[in-house]
Amino acid sequence: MNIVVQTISTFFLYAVGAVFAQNAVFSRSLGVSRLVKMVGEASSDNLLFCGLLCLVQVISAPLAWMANRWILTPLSFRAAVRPLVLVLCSAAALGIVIVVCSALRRPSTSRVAQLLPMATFNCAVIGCLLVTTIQNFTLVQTLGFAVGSGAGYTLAVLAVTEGQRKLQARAVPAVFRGLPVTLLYIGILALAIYGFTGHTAAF
Amino acid sequence: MPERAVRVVHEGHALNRDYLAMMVPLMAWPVFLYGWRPVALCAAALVTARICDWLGAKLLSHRYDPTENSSLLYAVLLVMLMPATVPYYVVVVSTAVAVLIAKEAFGGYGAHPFHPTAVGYVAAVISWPQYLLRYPTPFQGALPLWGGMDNVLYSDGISQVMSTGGTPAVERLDLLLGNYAGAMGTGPALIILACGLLLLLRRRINVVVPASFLLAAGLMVWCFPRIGNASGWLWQDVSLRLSALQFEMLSGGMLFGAVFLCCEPSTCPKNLLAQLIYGLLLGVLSMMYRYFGSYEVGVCFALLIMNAASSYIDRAVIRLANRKGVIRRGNVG
Amino acid sequence: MAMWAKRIVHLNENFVAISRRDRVFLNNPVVMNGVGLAPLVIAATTGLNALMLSVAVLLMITPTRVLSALVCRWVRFRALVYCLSAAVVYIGAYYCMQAWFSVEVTYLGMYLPLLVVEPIVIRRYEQPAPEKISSALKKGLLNTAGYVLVILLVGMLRELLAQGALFGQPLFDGSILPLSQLAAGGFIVVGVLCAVWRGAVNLVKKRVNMEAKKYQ
Repeated sequence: MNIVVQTISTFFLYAVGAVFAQNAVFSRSLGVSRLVKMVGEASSDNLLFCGLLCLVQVISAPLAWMANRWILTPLSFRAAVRPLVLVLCSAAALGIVIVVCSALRRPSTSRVAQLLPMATFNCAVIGCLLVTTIQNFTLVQTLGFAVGSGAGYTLAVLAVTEGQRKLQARAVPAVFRGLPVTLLYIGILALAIYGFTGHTAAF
Repeated sequence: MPERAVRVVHEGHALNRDYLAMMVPLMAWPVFLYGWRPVALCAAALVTARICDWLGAKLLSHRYDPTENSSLLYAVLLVMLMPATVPYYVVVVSTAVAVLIAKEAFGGYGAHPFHPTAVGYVAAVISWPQYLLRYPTPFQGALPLWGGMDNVLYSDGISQVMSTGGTPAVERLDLLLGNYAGAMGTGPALIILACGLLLLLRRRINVVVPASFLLAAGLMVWCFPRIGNASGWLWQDVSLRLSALQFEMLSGGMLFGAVFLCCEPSTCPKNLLAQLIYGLLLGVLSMMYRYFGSYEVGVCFALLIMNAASSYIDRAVIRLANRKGVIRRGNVG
Repeated sequence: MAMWAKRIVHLNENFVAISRRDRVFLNNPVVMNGVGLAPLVIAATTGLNALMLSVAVLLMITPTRVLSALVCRWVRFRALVYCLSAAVVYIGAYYCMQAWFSVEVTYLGMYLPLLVVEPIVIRRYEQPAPEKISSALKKGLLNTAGYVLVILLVGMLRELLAQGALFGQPLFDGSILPLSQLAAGGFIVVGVLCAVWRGAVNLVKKRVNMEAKKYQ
């Protein structure tokens, strides 16, 4: 009973930490290029993209943990092949999602197939896997962090999309329109989040 | 007869002029405590704000309007949040950040999503915590206008004392008057309340946001006081909770934020219910920053987060009201 | 003089096409497309970090692009090909970095392996048409040049603002804005730099236009 409570509390601790204190976008700047492009285009696929990203993240996290435990840790040159192994883990997660989606035969499968590579091979997913494998998280910590990382990215997308109303106003000076003002917006929000933690996220 | 040219005054001029007028009595107290240095710091901030305004207009190719005085207000508010021993270059750099980055880069008056004073203060306190989180002891003689602060005595701020579990040794009268080590403009609670009343009577601020802000913050302090060991139910340990309430609410920029920062027209929601929700969340977040972050003036950090959410709250409330209105109209018609 | 006039007029008429090919100043990948932001904002906090990242990027962008262009002739799944090529190239790049910056490379933390999926390295996979090897080589080198320029600029600027030093050599006492070494400051510095750069590009465009009008 104690172990269950401890497991659940570790899971939630790492998940909440990954959403706020170690937010993928605001603290580690992962997936910002994709974020800026997404909110600039203001399409309705943003939520679908974030959902797919969370899905791939959660599926690839345990795969990465297993790879770290059984393949990477015994190797002396693990730092060199870590990205290769992690890319293969996320590719495996991508494969699983494709198989599940085509088995479900929803009409949105083609759009899903279009978005999936971008949702899989991006800095947010691989960055989260890098953090959990470099810092040797346990399985529960890895799962919690992965869930939180995906949720944090979605939160960042929502926050910046919400801000776009003011950022796309005509009043914004021409040289700042688009990327610069979005970066300033993200930067100021990152300042606010930094105030909570008081220190930079370890990388 | 030749017509006199009508000087077109910026739309926000009167509002900001009223706010700036409130700063004059507020400035009297830090001058009384610390000498003329607060005035010199204010002057440096005002000059920087004007130069940054002109620079912004020049670089971003829009007309420089000398009657647009919101930058002056943001600069003075920023200085009021700092202790009197802060160096001049900190004031200059944080004012430049507040005006150029938080205001001009986003499009100037009315278009900025974040309160420039909050951005400037947050940038300053994160960059120079050694200058902004150390408060000079009052009544030690006038602080030097120039040069180093080597012979100045410092005391811990009220929030710092409470975060380590202690009880600040400040009498209630001193709390109300501002006779304790704190930021320049956040101490004199009575003056701030008087200014708030005046601004309210002139309809420069609304009553919903500051009231809900203070209510939510007060509730947080009541439920989780930082003084002593208040482990009972909410109606137990009343004296402890009241004591914590007076310390937390009268210090650390809570009143200052309620009166001068919350109701900024570009960043505050317009709808009444949205303003209520905004104020409540602002109060909760400010107290969370005071409790869990190491920053005493938590209201600035909370403002940044709530500014990002304010237009969403407005839209959500209007959408909800429209949906309910449709149902109501259907029933009536 | 006639040669100069002809070139200016030609530049003005085809400014958009010519600027698209210039990946160093007029159409810098970072400033105009917003790629490669993660290492810029978090890792490029000092001149030395920026130098290390530039070397890493130099070793990775062009080989990845050329290798992927080669493999994509036969394999259809472009995203996976580009990422795997980057990961394979990374192995070599990692050992080079270890040889040249043995201790300091730890300052980059996870932003060195993250280059494997950085858009600046693999973004070409989003365009479905396969690339010619020569084009991959040329564009890879141009993109590298543009990115290296920005990353060195950002790294040196942030070190100057935060520490008053350059590559560890102190230049003046005190710091103008210590915030620049944090993530939040990084976003702000990169944002302002992009705005200033775009302003410069606009100025050049206006100048070219003015000069061309003189000769038309």
